[in-house]
Amino acid sequence: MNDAVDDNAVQACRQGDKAAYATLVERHYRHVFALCLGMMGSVHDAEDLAQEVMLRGFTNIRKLSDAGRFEPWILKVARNLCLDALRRRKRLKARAAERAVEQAREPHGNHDLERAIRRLPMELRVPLAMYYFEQKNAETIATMLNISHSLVCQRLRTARHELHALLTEGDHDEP
Amino acid sequence: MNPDCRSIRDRISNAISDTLPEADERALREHLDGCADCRRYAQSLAQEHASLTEHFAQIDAEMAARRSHVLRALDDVWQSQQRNVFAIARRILSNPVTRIAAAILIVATVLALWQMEGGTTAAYALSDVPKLLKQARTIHLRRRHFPNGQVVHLEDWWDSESGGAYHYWEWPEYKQGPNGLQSMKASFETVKNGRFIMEVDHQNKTVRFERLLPVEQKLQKHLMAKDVASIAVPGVFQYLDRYTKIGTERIEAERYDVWRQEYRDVEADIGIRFDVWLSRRTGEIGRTRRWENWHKYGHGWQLASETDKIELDAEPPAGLFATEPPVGYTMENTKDTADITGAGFRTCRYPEGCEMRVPFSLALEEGSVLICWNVVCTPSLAPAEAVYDNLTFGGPLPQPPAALCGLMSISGGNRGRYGSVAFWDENAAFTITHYVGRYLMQTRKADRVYVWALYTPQEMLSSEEPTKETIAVIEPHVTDPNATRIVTPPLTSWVVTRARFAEYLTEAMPELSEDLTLPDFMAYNSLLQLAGQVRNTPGLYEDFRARMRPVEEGMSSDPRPAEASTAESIPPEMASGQVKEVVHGLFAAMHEGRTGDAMEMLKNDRRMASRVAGVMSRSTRLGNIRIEDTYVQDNAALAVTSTFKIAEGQSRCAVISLRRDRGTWSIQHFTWTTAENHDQEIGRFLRDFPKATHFSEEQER
Repeated sequence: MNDAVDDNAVQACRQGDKAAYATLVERHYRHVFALCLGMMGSVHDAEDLAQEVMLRGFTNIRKLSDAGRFEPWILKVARNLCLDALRRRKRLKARAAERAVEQAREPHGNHDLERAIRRLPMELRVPLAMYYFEQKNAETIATMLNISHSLVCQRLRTARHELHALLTEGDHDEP
Repeated sequence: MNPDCRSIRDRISNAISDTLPEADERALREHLDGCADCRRYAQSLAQEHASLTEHFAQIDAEMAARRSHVLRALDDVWQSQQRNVFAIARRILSNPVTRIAAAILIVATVLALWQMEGGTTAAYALSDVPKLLKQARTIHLRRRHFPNGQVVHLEDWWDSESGGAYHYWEWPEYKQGPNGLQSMKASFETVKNGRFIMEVDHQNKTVRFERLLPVEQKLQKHLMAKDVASIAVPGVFQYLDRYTKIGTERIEAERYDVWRQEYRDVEADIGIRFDVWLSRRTGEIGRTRRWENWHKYGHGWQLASETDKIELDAEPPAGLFATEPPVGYTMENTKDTADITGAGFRTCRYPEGCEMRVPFSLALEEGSVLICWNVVCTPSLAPAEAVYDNLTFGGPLPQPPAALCGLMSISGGNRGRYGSVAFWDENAAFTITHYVGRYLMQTRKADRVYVWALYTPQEMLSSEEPTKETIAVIEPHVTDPNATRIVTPPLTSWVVTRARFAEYLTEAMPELSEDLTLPDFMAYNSLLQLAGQVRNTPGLYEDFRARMRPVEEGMSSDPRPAEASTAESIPPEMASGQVKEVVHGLFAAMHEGRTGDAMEMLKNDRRMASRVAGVMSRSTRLGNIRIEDTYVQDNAALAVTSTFKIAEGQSRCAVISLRRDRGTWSIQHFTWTTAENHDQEIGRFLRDFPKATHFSEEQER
């Protein structure tokens, strides 16, 4: 669906109105960040990538064919950049030193939880971040990810079960 | 773990995200009662759910800083793009050959532009705009408003020669349908051809006419010219000096200067910013934008409306100002039966069942205002004939269910809702002038009773302006206990000279009276004499001021409610009970789908009112909401509800702040928040009202 505010802001931005792009940042940065957070699993990576996404959006705005569809376009840019980053990370992970660096960068208080979230597969992490961070319901997540409602519910369930298993690794009171 | 446990654990997860069907809840409870493993699992999952919520909320807390960081990075990119341009320029200038070539090119371009301009260098500034707008034969505006993410389309045409005006607006509206609230398009047209006003409601396919007297037609033309110009460039006549030039920008092939003014609406606590794009070369206004910053929501500046087409002297489409009703539409009346209305006063529907019109008004040069008003009520409220009996020239006004009991004028700035001044001026003194109303005569025409009255200010107030703006005070005289408020629509009248007075009045009489003769006492001198007597009658102004005090308290310059002064404090227990009643009333309205009632209760929180409209169609459990906590201090209160489901997988509690004014509690802000975050809302309230008394449902049990 076309969005008139975006349409307007994109047109203004193409005319060189930098302030108009600030409107787009205000409106969409959160969604972009949530997607990056879900895909990357790390707040630092999400911050870096979401910023990169918004800057690319600014420099490439003329490539957007339908000005009213800024959000799907910028989310696609985000998805592609995250996939590139994940591919790079996979290569780098082969190096043992990387792991140490990654672990040293743990930013938030709940280390176990963050680590457990990062260990979830991406297809579980993305709906989880959308559910808890963006506070979207399953139906909206299904629409955004273009998957069925029941699949979203199933992924949320699996994510919870797997997180529980990861967080209670070594405990013996749970099966 | 028995074989059932695996499927039960999926249900536990569903229950946590509120997606478990009610039918399965019982089976789950029964299993948990008998299975210690699953009970422990459920507890762990619930704890992890809480940890996840907190974890992501912590990440969320830094979003504003992250966004700012991105905006700063954007600035850097922008600057570096600009620097690249300068770097290229430096490279060109560093080489003698390219330097000479560039100089030749610049000179050639300047000469070419000069030729294109006819050898002149036109330079328009914003100060030229009022003149350009005044000289325009036609003005065409195309606007969009963006309330709550929705888009309202508006289009206006104004023809200064014929007095024709066309206004179209279209917006998405919510209506109660068989499956809850449904979004639909509502569109309206208002066409004015000078004499008639045709209102077309395209949604309900209805047409209604109103008619203007000759003097009001002239007033309409004058007011429309001002209104349309003010829409084209906000504050163009009074507040042009508040604009400053902030830069230039290119839109398509044209370069525009960008002018900005910014002020704060004290009452609503919002920042308002207007940007105007003006071509220095042609004087064309390329675009205007209005931005709002709702400080209390912390969303930053957001685009509220935009006018993207401002055409002067364009040819309107043929037949645009024709007042011919569309085929197939229901006619509520015809041009022959149309009510007479005034150009300077919008029909006021108050109290319920009554319509107040002002078909004719004139201001005398010494400040008094002559008004002819007419009230039409539903049959159950129709006033007894005796209301209009035994009235005398110069005596008190009659008391039909709605009476225009007096006027006020305000200098120094006021709130938008009082109409007469559009901008809040924080530095100006706020003074109110009262106009006492006295009866002159009554006329009758086609079952309508027209009351003629003179409204006189205590001091003589001469004005250089051709029109006079006041605020009409409507006083209800009905038995409904809720109709105690006095509402105040704006009223504009021509200031008329002694020479033209009789002419205008004589012209109006055939339309408003069966008896065409004008009584002798309606002469200019008689009215001046009466005004003098009114000014010298002891007690008249004191009485009127006392009656107006509640209205004026609502206009006080302090945006915070005048808590201590408007009503005596009541015991906190009683206040808590009253607050709960109001909040329960709101949720009952939402639960029962009474959209209008809910919107009315949320009228102080327009954004939330709109959001509530959206949620009402989805919420099935609003009827069971409990108010778990109330905090009360003097005439301020905060209510916190139990958690409830607003959508699948989303639970929230509501935190509602209320204020008590003249003994009545009204909702100021309504916030939905997660149960985990509601402490922040309560903390904010307690910072403002540290002595608040806390009542909790648990204590009461």
